[in-house]
Amino acid sequence: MTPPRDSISDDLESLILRFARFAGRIAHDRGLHQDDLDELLQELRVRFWRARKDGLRDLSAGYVRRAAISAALDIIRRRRLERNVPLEEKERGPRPLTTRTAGPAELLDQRELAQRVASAVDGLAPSRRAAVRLYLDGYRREEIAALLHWSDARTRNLLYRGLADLRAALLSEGIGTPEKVQ
Amino acid sequence: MNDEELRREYRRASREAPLGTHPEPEQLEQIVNGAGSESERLALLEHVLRCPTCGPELDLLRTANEGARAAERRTPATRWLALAAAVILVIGVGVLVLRGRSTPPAADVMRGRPHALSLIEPEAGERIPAPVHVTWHAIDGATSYRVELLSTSGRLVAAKNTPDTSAAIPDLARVRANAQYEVLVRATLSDRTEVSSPIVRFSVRQ
Repeated sequence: MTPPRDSISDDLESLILRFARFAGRIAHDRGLHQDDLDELLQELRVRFWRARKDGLRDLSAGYVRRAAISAALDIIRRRRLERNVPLEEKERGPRPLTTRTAGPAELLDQRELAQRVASAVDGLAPSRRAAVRLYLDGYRREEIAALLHWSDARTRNLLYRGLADLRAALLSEGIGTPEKVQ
Repeated sequence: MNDEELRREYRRASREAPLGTHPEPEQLEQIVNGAGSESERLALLEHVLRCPTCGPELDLLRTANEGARAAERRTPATRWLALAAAVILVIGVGVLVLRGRSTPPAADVMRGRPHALSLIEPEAGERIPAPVHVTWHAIDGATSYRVELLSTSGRLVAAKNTPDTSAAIPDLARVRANAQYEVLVRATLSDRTEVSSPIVRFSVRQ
């Protein structure tokens, strides 16, 4: 039975709409599939509906966040159970990086350069490495600070010093051009 | 290599699932919530950020977490704040118009070379008088620039946002003579990504 419409139902519905709007932006930035977002929203609706049926009367601080995290965890667990063969990886494949086709020699050069950059990142100190990986993966500095639970100053310091270390490591292998003294 | 070139090569590197077992979903939640020790979370992230299976799972959790936080933040009180901010913005725009449009609008952000942000002044190792003036080369697709003056330990001393390609460091009171500082410029591009210049160290003379 659908719970009667009241102010808490309206609040929940408006929360879902706001959640969809904000989550949609983040999902878009991170290249998440629309299907994933739809599934998350559906799980969240189900949780709200159940909670309302069980007598939810007000929205305490953190309720939506706990519900959203629990919904995402359930999706992850369900997919892991279904995924005997990691079909998802094969279906999605790597992100498209270029629309231009390169010849075999050029591809080899590109691959070697990419591997050397990846190896140089592997060689960074752990905290700088995490910040640099996230940055090179397209995270903005504010997002890096939020995910690593660091202050803005600490993030800035570790990120830019990590990038400087990375450039120095590549330069020692003859990749890139020397910057002015830093 | 500039930031864009580094990103391109890093993403081009084939990503294979690293050795070891995938973290449990609860451990992914630990990363998002900041639970446990930092070294533990960094070790988990080291796997997750290189793993084609765990990476999208972390993205899903982050989306849930950040989406919910943002949705919860939007309380009636913040609506009033938003209204107040809008009023201030309208007044601010009116003042700018009345002052003869002395400040260039965001649409007139200086544009130039693609994705290679570098400083013109100060030069590395230079001793310059206060106030500190920073000038840089424009890059294509920039919607705004942010100049950051840092202490040599990385602490933010002053910052300024601008659509232009030069800025004077605004907070002179915090800039000490004979001290060393570092400066960098970050450009926000139209696709919301950021490009930063190399850090340049210089000192301020009396």
